[in-house]
Amino acid sequence: MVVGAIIWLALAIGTLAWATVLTFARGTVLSVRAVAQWLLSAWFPRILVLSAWAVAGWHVFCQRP
Amino acid sequence: MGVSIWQGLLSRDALAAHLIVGLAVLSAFAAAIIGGHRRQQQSTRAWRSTWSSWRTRSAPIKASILAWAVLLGGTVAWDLVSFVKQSHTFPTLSYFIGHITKHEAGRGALFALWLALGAYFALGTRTKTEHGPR
Repeated sequence: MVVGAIIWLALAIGTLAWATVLTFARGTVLSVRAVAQWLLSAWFPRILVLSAWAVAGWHVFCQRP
Repeated sequence: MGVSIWQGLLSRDALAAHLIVGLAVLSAFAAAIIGGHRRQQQSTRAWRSTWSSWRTRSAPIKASILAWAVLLGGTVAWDLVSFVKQSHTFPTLSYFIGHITKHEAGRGALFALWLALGAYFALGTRTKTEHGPR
C-alpha cells in the first residue's frame, strides 16, 4: 500500500471512529445535523457551501474522475 | 431519479453530462435565493459572531469542534497535498471516487446523492415563516 493510501485509510478510520462517538454521545457533542444547521443558518456560509458543492460536482462528473 | 440514471450512462466528456451538471448548479442557486429570501435563521454578521462563542462552550462541545476541524481540515489539506504532488504514491480523493464513477451504477448513484445534497444545501434549515430583511 502506498503512503498516500495509508493516510487516507487513517482519515477513514478517524471518520468512522468519530461517527461512532456521534452515535453514542448524542446531545453532548456537535452532531452532523448541528454542523449542517450552523453552516446553513446564514447567507454567506450557505453560498460558500453551495459553491463547494458545485465545484465538487463539476470535478467528479465532468472532469478527471 | 431519471436524470441520475441518464447521468450514469454518460461519460465525463459528454456535453449532455456537462449541461446536466450546469443546470443542476444553476437551479440550486436559484432555489436557494428564491426559497431562502427572508428565511435565513440569522444574519451573516450574527453567524460570524458565533466563531468567537466557542470559548464559552462546554468541554465536550469544544472537543467535538476540534474533532470536526481535524477531520474536515485534514481531508482537505491531504487532498491538496496529493493534488500538488501528482504522484501514484499520493492518490487524491478523486482517484478513489473515480473507481466508483467508472461504473454506470456508481456514477448514477453518486449523482443522485450529489443532487440530494444540493437540494438540502439550497433549501435546508430555512425558517418556516418569512421575517424582516436580512
